[in-house]
Amino acid sequence: MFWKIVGVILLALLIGLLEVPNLWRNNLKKELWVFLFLLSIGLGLGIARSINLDLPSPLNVITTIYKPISDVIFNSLK
Amino acid sequence: MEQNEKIKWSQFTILVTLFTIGTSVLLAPTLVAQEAKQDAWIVTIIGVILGYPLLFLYNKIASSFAGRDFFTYVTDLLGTWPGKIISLLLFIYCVFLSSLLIRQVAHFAVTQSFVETPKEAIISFFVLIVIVGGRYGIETLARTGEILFPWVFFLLFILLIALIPELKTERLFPMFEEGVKPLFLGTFVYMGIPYFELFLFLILIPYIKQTGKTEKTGKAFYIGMTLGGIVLIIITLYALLTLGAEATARNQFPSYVMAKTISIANIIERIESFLAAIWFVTIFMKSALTFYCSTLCLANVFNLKDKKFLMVPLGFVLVFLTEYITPNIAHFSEFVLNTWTLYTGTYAILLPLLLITVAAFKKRNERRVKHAQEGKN
Repeated sequence: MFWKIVGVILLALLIGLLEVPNLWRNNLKKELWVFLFLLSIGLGLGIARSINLDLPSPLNVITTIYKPISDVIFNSLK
Repeated sequence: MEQNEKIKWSQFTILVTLFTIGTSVLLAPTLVAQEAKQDAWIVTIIGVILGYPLLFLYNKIASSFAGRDFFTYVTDLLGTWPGKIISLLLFIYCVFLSSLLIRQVAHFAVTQSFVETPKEAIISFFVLIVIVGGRYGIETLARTGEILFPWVFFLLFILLIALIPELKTERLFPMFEEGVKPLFLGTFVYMGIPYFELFLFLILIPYIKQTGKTEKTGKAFYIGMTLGGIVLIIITLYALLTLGAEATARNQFPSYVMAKTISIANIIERIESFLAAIWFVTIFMKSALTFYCSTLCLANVFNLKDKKFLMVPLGFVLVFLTEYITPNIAHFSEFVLNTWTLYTGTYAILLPLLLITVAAFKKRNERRVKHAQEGKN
């Protein structure tokens, strides 16, 4: 588990090293923030995965939103 | 954001075809047969027919782009903030779609061909090629499509020829056993899988090289969808004819199982990998295009100058999101069956209708203003 976390962090660092210098040099501040934001989401999910954290599926939100309409359609067609 | 990349309209046709075949070649037969039983093939025909009014709508919108890209068009029409919100929603949609597609690849590979390989390895490598495809851009993807397209049809052709001895027409009967209601339900589910996803091409249409004939774009869209639709009709029909409705509905990958039954004189066997190859190729194109669209959407939300640097971190997110997107296959099937059509339909029908209505109102207002000014003079 420990090595998995280390691996995920190393991978994130590698991706950072690959792109950050270029963005920094060209003074693309906004781009840099979006990049770091995405990377930290990935890092968070990766660490959650490494410690086998049971996160709910993001699709459940969509299912909840569309449930009323979906129920009406399936009840009327079945 | 500048657009240096351009594709030809023939390449656009190929992209639409591969996108339409995409997941559906494995997924559609079972989903539709679950609802419509032996009439599933009728549903696939209805699907293509219902695809035409959709494409008509999209072509109508695309014709009023007038050199702008999709996002500029939406922003010009609805204003800055609504435009940004729509791009953000589309971004989320694209990320979820690519994640679901990659999840299916992993699930298929792990259960059918690479049984001993860990799922994570397959997901990582698939995301890697999707990132590479995305970074090279739409032009390279289109040319890749041109190379792979004949192979898809060649492999499909061999499969269909080899399966002819297995076909039994009595498996299609009785037709309309339970009335037409299951057909409606089947159509509802089936529309969501390829046809309601085609609206993503609205984002890609501005990349077509304009050669002065704009109607060609529309034609390319129709031809692409029809070709893809015909492949899906044939695959579903074949699945029903070789396996019967019961087995088609029960199997997760009926077209793959169907290809497994091929055995010609005990020499030509196990050519189901042809179908796997078709599937990998088409789903790669589909996920790469979706991934590419997602970076375009995100770049538009934040007005970014470039989109290439987004691909690696977004791929990084995708690898782990794919693990969490659906905990198991039952959850996935239920989501696709109950919610997916409505979710994607919101963007495939409501969004274009909204755009067209607003555009019509704006045009009328402009004309009225012009009229009033002329009256004053």
